[in-house]
Amino acid sequence: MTTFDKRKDAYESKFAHDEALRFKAEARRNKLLGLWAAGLLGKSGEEADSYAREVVRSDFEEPGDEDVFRKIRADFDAAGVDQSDHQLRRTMDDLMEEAIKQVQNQS
Amino acid sequence: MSETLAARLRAGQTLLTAWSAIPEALVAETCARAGFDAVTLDMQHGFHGFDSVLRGIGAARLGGAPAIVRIPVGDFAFASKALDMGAAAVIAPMINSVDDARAFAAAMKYPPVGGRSWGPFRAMALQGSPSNQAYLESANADTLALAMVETRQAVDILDRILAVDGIDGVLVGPSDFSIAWSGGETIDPNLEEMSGAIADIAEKTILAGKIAAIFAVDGDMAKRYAAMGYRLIALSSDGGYLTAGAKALIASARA
Repeated sequence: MTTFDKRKDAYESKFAHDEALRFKAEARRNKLLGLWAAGLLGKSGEEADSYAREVVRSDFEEPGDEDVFRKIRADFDAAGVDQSDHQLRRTMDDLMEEAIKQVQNQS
Repeated sequence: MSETLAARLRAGQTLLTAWSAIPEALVAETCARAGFDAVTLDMQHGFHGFDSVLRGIGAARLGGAPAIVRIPVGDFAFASKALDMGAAAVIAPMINSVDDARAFAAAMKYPPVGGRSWGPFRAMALQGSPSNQAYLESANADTLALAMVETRQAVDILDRILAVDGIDGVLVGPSDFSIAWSGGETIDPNLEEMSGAIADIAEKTILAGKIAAIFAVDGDMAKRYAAMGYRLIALSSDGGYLTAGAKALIASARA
C-alpha cells in the first residue's frame, strides 16, 4: 500500500467517524436550539420543553436542517422576534458545535 | 455502491427495506432490482438459514442494494457471521434487557466497543475494501446494530438500551408490540392505542442520537411512521409482494 492510500484510508475513516458524531449530535442540537428559541419566544418551563420537542420533530420532514430553520424562522416572524436569518443560522452552527462537544464528553 | 446504508440513514434519508422470508437468492436480488434501498433477510420468522443468507447478501448487492440480516432470537454468534458475510446491518429480535443489548453490541463491534472477532473477507470483497486496516477502522461506524423493541419490558428500559455503546438504533415490531400492549389479546400492527407509544420510541431514539427503524404492513403505515421520525422502514414481505402483484395482474386480466 502506498502512503497516499494510507492517507486516504485515514481520511475516510475519520470522515465516517465525524459523520457518525454529527448524526448523534443533531437531535441534541435541535433540542438546544428549541430551548434557545423558546426563550426568545417568551416561553419557559414546560412550555419551553414542549416547544423544543416541536423543533426536534420539525427535522423529520426532510434531510438536512432547512426544515428546522424554516420552522423557527416562521415562529420568530409570527411572534415578531428580531433575529436575522444570519443570526439564526449562526446560532444553529454554534449549538451544533456545542452538541458535538456534549456527545464527545459523554462517551 | 457508493454510499453505505449507515451514511444514508445518518444523512437523514428515509429508506425502505424489502423483507425477505423466502430463502432464495433470486428473490433477494429481484427485491433489490425492484427499487428497495435495502433487502432484509429474515432468519427469525422467515425461512432464511446460513446458506441462503450467504448467497442472498451477494445477490442483493448484485441487484444494487445492501443486505440486512435479522438473526434468530439470542443467536449473537450469527450476528458476527452475518457481518463477515457482508451484511450492512443486523437486526436482533427480543432485546429485552441491557444485558441482551450489551451481548448483541459485543458481537457486532470490534474493540474497544465490543469483542467482534476478525474474519470479514467476504464483506471486504463485496464492498471493495482496500485493506484490512481500512475495514477495521470503518466497520464499527459502517455496520449497524439494530435492537428490536417489541415488548413492554423493552419500552420500559428503552433509554438504557439506547445508552449501550455499539447499539446504533432500534427496530420496532408493531405486531409483537400489539400482542404485548394488549396483554396477549390482540394481534394488530395498526392498533390505534399504541401509535402514541410508537411515536415516543422514535423521538427517544432520535434524541439519543440513534436510528429509528420499524416494520410497516403497507405504504400508508410507512408514511405515518416516516412522519414520526422513523428512517428505516421495512415494508411488507416477499410473499406479500408476489401475492399483491399476482392478484393485481389476475384482476386486470379478468376485468
